[in-house]
Formats: sequence, structure tokens, C-alpha cells
Amino acid sequence: MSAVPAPVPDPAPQWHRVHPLTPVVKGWLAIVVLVGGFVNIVLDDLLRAYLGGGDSPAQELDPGQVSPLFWWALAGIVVLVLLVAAAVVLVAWWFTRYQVTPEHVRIRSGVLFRQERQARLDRVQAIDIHRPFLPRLLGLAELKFEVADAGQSAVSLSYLTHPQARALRGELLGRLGLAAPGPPGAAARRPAPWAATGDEEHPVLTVPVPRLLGSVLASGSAVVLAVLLVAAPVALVLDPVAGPAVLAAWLPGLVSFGAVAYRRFEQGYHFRLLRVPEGMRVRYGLFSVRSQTVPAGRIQAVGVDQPLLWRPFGWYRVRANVAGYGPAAGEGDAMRSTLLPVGTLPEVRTVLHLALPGARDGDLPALLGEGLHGLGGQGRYTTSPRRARWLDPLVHRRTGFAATEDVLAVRSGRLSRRTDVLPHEKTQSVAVSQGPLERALGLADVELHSTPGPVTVAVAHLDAGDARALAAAQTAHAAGARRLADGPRHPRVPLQERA
Amino acid sequence: MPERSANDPVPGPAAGTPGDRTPLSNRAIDPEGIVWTRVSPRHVSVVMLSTLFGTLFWLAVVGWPAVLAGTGVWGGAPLRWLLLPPAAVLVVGVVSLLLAPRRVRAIGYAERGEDLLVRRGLLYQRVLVIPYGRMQYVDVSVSPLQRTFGLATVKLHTAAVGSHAEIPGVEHAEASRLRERLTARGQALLAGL
Repeated sequence: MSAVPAPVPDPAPQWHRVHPLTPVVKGWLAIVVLVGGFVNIVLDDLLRAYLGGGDSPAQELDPGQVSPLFWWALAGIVVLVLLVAAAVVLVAWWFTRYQVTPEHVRIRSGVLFRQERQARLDRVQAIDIHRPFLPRLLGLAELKFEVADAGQSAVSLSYLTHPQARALRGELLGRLGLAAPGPPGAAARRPAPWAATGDEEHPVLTVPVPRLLGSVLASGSAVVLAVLLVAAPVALVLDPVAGPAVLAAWLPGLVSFGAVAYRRFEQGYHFRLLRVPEGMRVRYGLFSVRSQTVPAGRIQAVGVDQPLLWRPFGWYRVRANVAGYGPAAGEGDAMRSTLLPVGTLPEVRTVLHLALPGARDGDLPALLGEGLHGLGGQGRYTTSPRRARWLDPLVHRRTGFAATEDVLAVRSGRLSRRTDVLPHEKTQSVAVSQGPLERALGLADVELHSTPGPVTVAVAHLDAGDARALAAAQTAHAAGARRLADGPRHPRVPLQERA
Repeated sequence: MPERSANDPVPGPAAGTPGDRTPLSNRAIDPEGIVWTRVSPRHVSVVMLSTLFGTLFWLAVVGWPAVLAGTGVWGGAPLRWLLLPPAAVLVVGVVSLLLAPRRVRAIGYAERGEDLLVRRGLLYQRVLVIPYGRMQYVDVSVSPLQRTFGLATVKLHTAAVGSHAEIPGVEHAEASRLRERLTARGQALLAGL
């Protein structure tokens, strides 16, 4: 990475192979299953031969009577199967190659059915390093390129050595960072969204393990788990006949709640938030360590919420809609859009400040505090009118919105509280809707659409006039912010100006 | 706070056919000074026909046990109970058929300087505002039924899921005009993410 913006580096970029241990890592499960299955069958027969005298198959397989030829054949088959499997895996590895050009990252794989996958680097939203458990033991890592096409993760290089993966990521970040300002001739080329000039990291915060453990214990699934565990002996004592059946029926629920709680712990373990030039980087995981870079400009909306049971501890969670990440496909994916699994209010403010570099500070902390704890319409928030109590007796004093120059904050939830923050320039569209009862009461709902993710920004049961004003203001704000934010061909707010 | 006159019925402005009492505009949730364009009246036929086909299909799906019981093939079946599901389907179908004209007249769209508005719904009304710069792409699709009536559906996609707006029942010429105009405006005001 020299200071001179080098024109297109190597004209014919090389094809590389992934790490030779890759097939072992990818195939370990198959190998275990294969060997395990085989051993299982043989052991089973041997055991039966020793234990049960009467069975006919046992007699056939009595090791004393079987000719040595049988054992040789058996060993031969095992070796053959392993060899074939190894050959297949090796060939697959041999034909899997990747290439990183100045414009693309490409992966070619397959022998009979050749497959080539490529991602344009300037469309790559993020480069994440994933380190699942086994590869991590072997010092390997996976490099994932996320593109804007939400849903499927684009291209993943698995596996490289960890230093190699880091170096490649650093090099790509650097290369595109240098290429970004570009000579006038290359004006058409947009800087990569995550383009940066370096890869330096500044630790911002770490979630202590006891707090994480506490947050998992104080979650709904943990409570259900505890109730089930306590109820089990009671059920057994009360009804010794039906008890076991009831317990058996609970078992799946028990397992799934346990799994959810465990996953939250495993994924949130040692959660670290780092500041990098392009935005934020989070790193987390107990067995599988994941590291992902979230460029600030890609954050579309931020949601802060506090489940009921976290209230005594003053804990909050911060999640964000990140462009390109798409909706979380499952619980396993949920951490991807989590910026802070559990933290205190000052930490939430820090994260919010980093996540929304465009929001001039001023009002935001106060808005956040009021958004999380406020009740009624005396403060900055415009809330549902009193007549909304007919539709929404509990929450109507909490639902409300407040706007600053840069963001819109929406609060909701009486028991489990939340505040969502949407930068004006990230508003995709606005919808106002009204049902028959709302029409009778002169109320309306407003939805503000953001990219898919855990944060949904909507205000229910506003006064119809307020709703219309909010929608109008928000469309105007959004248009205004867009005009400010957009250079003719630069759809994004330059980070440097806003930091 | 005094109650607003929001819930007074407001007759639809210019675009409505004369004597049409379906309120196209709802002052409570419409932006100021909006003039809605209605979709083609032929769309009523498309909706009614597809409702009819749908109802017949579901009648067949849930009605065959009743037919078996009624013709005596399935002796001793509780005919009275078996008639309930098809009856429910029939009621829903007839209500949808009766409401179809009003539902279609409740669909409207309007182009403004910077955004497109789409509204729909009779009981549950919804106005969606999509800034041109946020459109990712515009789809025009024509189903076989629509083709017979010379209509098309224009769909707008943004990066958000909630804002995929659909304007059904637009005449072909209008559909291509809309597509061209939306694309052009979208490019001029492109905002990306």
C-alpha cells in the first residue's frame, strides 16, 4: 500500500487455492459419521456374538469362526472407502480456486459441474472474518464478502489461515481506500462502501461475561426453562402415572428454550466493539469467533430495547438494520445485526454515537433517555392522544415520536420498552394507515420503512393530524436529507465530514 | 384538544366518476392538496373474475365431502356440518364480489414532484409515499386475465420490505408511461441506501 495511487495492479491476477486443511475441516463431520457408523456396526455384531448365544446372526459372526479373510476384506473395504472419500475431497479442494482482482473476487469450484461465483468489490458491503470452532483450532478463518443483494451471503473464502485472511482483508480495504479518490479519469468508479485507508482498531467496549450471563438468565426463555425445571418434580410427585408423559411432552420445549439461552450465551461471549476507520467492528463468540465490520454509512436504523426483566439492572440491547444483511434468517443469525447484546445506558449512548455519525449530538441523549423511560406527552415526544386508550389502554402513553434535525426517534412498549432511531436520510418510504375504529376516533398509524432487519419503525394510534404532519415532515425531511447527502453520483454521506 | 373533522366523509375529488360515492380521499391521512388518479374501471372485472375463480376453486377444495355425503356415496356422513365450510367460502366470495367495485375505486395513485403516492383500502385505508430516489426498480407485470382487459400491474420496489407498492389495473399505455417516468425520476433523484 504505497501512497501513490497505483493504476490497476496486476493485469492477470493469479488464482489461489484455499488452505490444504480445508477439506479436513469441511469433511470432518462426514468422516466422523462414516467411521462411527462402521465401528458401530462391527461393534454391535461383535457384542452380540459374545453376549447372545442363540441369535443366528451372532453365530454367523462369531469372531472365532470367521476366517481371517473376512477381516482382511473388511479392513480393505474400510481403507477403500476412506481412500475414495479422501480422493473426492482432495479433487474438490484442488479445483477450488479463488482470485482477487482489482474489481472482483471470484471463486471457482466443482469438477463436473463447474461453478463460478463473483462479487464486485465496489458492491461489497462488508468483509467479515468468521472463525468456527474447528477451523479456529487449526488456525484457519473464513473470509466472507457481503453484497447488497440481501439474503444470500455472497462469496466466502473458506478457509485461509487467520493471518492470511486478516492480511487479505486489510489489503482489500487499503487498496480500495486508495483507489477511492481516484484520478479524474476514473470518476465513474464509486468508492467501495467500506473503503478505508487502514485497518487500525480502537477498542470501545467489552461486555463482561457476568453481565452477559445475567442477561441470559433474566430473559424470557430462561424463565420458562426454570419454571419447567421446577414444575417437573412437582408434576412427578402429584401424579406419578401421568407425570412422566407430561414431562416427555415438555422435553422438546425444554431443549429448545435451553438451546436459545445457550446460543445467546455462546454468541454473546466476550463481545467486543471496536472503532475502525470505516465504522464499527464487532467480535464475539465463545467457540466460533465472528468478526464483522459494520460501516457506519450502512446502518439504516438503530433500535434500543429493554426487556422487562432487564429493568432492575438497567440493561439495554442495541440492534441495527444494516444494508445488505437482510432479515435475520434465524436465531443463529440474530447476532449479526446486534451492536450491543447487553449494556448500560452510557454504553448505549456511545454505540448510538458511533452508529449514527450523521446525527449531531445535541438532543440525541435526551431523546434516548426520554424514549426509554418517558411516559405521557409532556416532554419532547408527541404521543397518542388520550382517546387512543380505547384501542390501546396500556401503551398509548408510551407510543410517540420526536424528531431532531437529523433523526426521528420513535418510542413504544410499556413493559418491554424500546426506542428506534431512524436517520431522516435513510427513510425509504412512509405509509399512513387507518382502520375503521381509528377512523371513528380520529386516529391513524404511521410506518416508516427501513431496510429489512430487526428494527421496525412505526407509531401506532397517533392523532390523525399528527400522523399526517409526521408523514409529511418525514417525506420532506427525507427528500431534504437526500439532496444534502447526495453528490451527483455519490449516494452516501462522506464519513470524514461527519465524524 | 378539539376533535378534528377528520372523520367526516369527503367525496372523492376530480378523478372519480360522477355519482360515485366511494370516498377516494380521506382527509385524515392524505397529504394536503392531493389529487388521486384512479385505476381503470375495467380492473373491477378483473377483480370480480379472479374472485369468482378463487371462490369456485375453494368451493371445490372444501366442498367435495359435502357432495359425497349429499349424493349418498358417503352414507351416514353429517351433511349439515360438512356444508359449513363451503357455505363460509361462499359468503366470503359473495361479499368480496359485492365489494369489488368499491375496493377498486378505492385504489389510487398520485405523482408529485419528488415522490409517488399509492393509496388503497376501504375499511383499512393506507397511503404509501415513496420518494422517487428510493426506488430500486419498477416492475410491470401482466397476468393472462389482465391481458384480456388490456391492463397491467405496476410494482415499485425499494430496499425496504414494507414499501413494495403495487398499482394494479393500470392500462397498458399508462403502465409504460408510469414505468418510464418513474425510472427517469428515480435516476434523476437516485439516493441509493
